Amino acid sequence: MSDILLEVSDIRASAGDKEILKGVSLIIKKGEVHVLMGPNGAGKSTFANVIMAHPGYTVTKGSIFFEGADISRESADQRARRGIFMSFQQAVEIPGITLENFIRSSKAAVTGQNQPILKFRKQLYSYMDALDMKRAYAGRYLNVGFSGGEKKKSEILQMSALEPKLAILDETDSGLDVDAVKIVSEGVKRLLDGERSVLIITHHQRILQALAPDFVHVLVGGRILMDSGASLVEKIASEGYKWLSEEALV
Amino acid sequence: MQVKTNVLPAPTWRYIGVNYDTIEQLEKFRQGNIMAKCSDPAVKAIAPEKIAESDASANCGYMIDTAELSGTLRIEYFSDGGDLADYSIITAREGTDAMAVFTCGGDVHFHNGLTRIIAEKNSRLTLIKIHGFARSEQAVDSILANVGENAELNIISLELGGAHSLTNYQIELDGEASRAFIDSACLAKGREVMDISYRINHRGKNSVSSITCSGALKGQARKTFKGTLDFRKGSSGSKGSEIENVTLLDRGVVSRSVPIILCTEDDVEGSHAASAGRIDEDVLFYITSRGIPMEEARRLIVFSKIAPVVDKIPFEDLRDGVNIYLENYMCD
Ligand SMILES: Nc1ncnc2c1ncn2[C@@H]1O[C@H](COP(=O)(O)OP(=O)(O)O)[C@@H](O)[C@H]1O
Ligand SMILES: [Mg+2]
Repeated sequence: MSDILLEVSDIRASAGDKEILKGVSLIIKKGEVHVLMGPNGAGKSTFANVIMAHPGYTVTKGSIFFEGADISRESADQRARRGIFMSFQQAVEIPGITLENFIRSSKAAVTGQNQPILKFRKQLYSYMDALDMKRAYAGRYLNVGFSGGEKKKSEILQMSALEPKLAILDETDSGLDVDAVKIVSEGVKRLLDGERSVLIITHHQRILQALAPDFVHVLVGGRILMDSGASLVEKIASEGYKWLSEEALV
Repeated sequence: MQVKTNVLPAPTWRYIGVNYDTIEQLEKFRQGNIMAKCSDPAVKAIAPEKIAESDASANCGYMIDTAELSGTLRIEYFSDGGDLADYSIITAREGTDAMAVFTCGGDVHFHNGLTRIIAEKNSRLTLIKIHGFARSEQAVDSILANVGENAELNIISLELGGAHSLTNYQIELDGEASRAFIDSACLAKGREVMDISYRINHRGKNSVSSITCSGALKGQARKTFKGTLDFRKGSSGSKGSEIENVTLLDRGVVSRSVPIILCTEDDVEGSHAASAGRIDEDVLFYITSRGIPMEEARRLIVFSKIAPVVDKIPFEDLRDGVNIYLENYMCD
């Protein structure tokens, strides 16, 4: 069997009349850590959302394969059950559903197995402890009244519990202090067992120092302008993206 | 004969159709077996002659004195096809803190319930009402309450439909620093018609109130919500708020909202907010992105709208009953 986990080929996507992704291709193999960087408005979140099948974007061209299966026409829940997870840049608040019940329902959905309350709770608490999250948050309504940092941890908690094959983290490290970035990176590290993969969307080096990426992709104006090794991160950190667009114009 | 009910305190254009609702007055009670079950032996059933004395016509009811209660009171009415008219009086005695849960089940052709509440000084009473476990053609539920000095009345009400259901709660905040909070959730489907009227009259100084009404409408259900906060003379320093939130699951539903705030006193604060809309796409995407199928996600969202009310029901079998109701509600 092939070790390719995700294969995105020449994806074009738009929202309304606006074309945002203009032919993006990307291959992620099992066990790899990929980074997607790029200036604000480049289309990074759109790319993540398109992989997750957000109904607000129309894919006009291209295909997405996951573990060899064409999932281009599958809905978000079907893709999630295959093992794709996205940590939202903007987590949604849902008053009336507790964090615990939400994760338990999700876990039951992705595994196809009923989750006995006590056993599940024990597991959930161990993930919460590792993320330095107060256990009382399990009984609170999903993301309601959570601070920015707590929302990010809630996303990583969901990732930990669902154990996806591919986790896409959309700026999960943004707005976090040094300690929180460390806790989040450790959470991601625990997921990485050589088989599972991550795609990290970030502007910062800190999370990358902890996670040692294998590949870096730079998205500008809806196109990937460069695929490279980890050394690119430092160049971007010191020089920004401008040189890239100039180089691409040559 | 038609009788006007839930009359709006300040009428508006007639064509909007919210000034009042009408019900069919009964010529005669339809006979059937009415069962009433009460969890606390200290609570006395109201004798039929007593009911006749009060000008309410009723065929069952209880006289409740919170000083005599041991624990949460539970009263269940059940009818197998007859008309049900229950009439209860709750006296929340000075300094007591009590909770009562009223439910009604079975097949009720016509249901008329009236609860009279007198909340004495420094008392706290929480009354939980669940309507709609019973199948009914026409249901009217009324609460008439007087709240004394520094007393608190919490009404938690779950409206689960019925062909035509009316709710009429009127609360008099008589005492200084008296408080009333109504927290209700409703689900209507099919061709059900729901008319909800809450009226809180602030009379005492520094009295506080809030009304929250949330829920969902499906099919061609119609709901009218009338929430009135009336700040009467002498109610200076009082505050009240009302919030209504309705999720519209189908295009054929009608949701009408009439929040009214009346002030005859200057130094008061009244506010209202209403929102009605379809299920938020971003919320649906968030839930489905975790592997939960669309239908289940919609059910979760509807549940989330009534959950803050359901979570306050202190009996598991009743909470389970609501969940089963919701399963059927979503499938219908
Ligand atoms: N649903 C949408 N409707 C309209 N425009 C959108 C939508 N989503 C994204 N965009 C636009 O597409 C561009 C890329 O957005 P986004 O993917 O969020 O970028 P990034 O995550 O790289 O900052 C931006 O100009 C943004 O305003
Ligand atoms: Mg973004």
